[in-house]
Amino acid sequence: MPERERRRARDEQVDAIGEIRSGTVIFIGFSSAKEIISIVADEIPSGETAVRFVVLGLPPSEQESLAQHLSTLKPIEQRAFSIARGDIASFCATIDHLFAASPPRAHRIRVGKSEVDLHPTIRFIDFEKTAERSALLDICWLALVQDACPLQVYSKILKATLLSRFRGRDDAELLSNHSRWSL
Amino acid sequence: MQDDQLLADIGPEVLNGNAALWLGPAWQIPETNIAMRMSGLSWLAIWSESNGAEFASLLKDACSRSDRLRKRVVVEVAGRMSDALGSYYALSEVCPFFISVGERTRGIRCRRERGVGPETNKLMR
Repeated sequence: MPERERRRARDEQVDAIGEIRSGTVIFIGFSSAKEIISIVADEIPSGETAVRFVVLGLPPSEQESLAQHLSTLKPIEQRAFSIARGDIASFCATIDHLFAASPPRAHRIRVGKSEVDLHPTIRFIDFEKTAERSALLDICWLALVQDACPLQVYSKILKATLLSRFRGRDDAELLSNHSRWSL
Repeated sequence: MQDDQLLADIGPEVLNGNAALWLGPAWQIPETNIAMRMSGLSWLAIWSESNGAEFASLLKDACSRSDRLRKRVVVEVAGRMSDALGSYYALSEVCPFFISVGERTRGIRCRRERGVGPETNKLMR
């Protein structure tokens, strides 16, 4: 591949970070602060994205150097970056712990470029708002499985409920704390 | 921010399938149990500055074995995105694995030269 074409391909790939929107990018496998600084300086669009960046597993001696560099950035850019002192193993242990401890929930849905907050819907699980509950009878299903419900059952019910709302949209997806489902 | 707090903060993002990985040049497949845990997560996308073929294979394997991950397909993107992903792709269906990020030439940045043009916009959802 010609050099210019190769650079364009690479730039396209890096630009795809914009697709992540408000997600998190985790940097792993860097041995020096300089490598990350060059990415921050040359690659990451300055202040143009809501993406959050977390550096994981950087050698302790390099962490301070990176922190110093990040402190020179604009406040909005500083807030986008975090340095985790731990390594991949501690990260995975945290994930395992959260996975085990966190009950199933689904708090938002992405439809095209919009994310819809599901908390008003999720509240039905608690049966706190009788009027809303009555207005959406199918939501009553959720009450049947609110305690220790199997994830699959929960997701199917929630999907069925949401599907009726977003039927015909093939770009809708349900985001939960355990996985990602297309509706 | 303390590590516990930070990890507890980003952990749900990872479990939500709302996180991506950027694997640096020193990246190596970690020990088996950790590699398996990582490959069992639903990453939005992966950028690799190293030869990430082994991890890409693990991800594909995990996708084929897990009902939860099966709805997305891992697509290795070594060149132009349109060659591997077509003119349209959705992260809900595809986990792009960008494997030529390591060919970075510092200071040379096509994007700076051209801005974000129609061709790039076409790829955006």
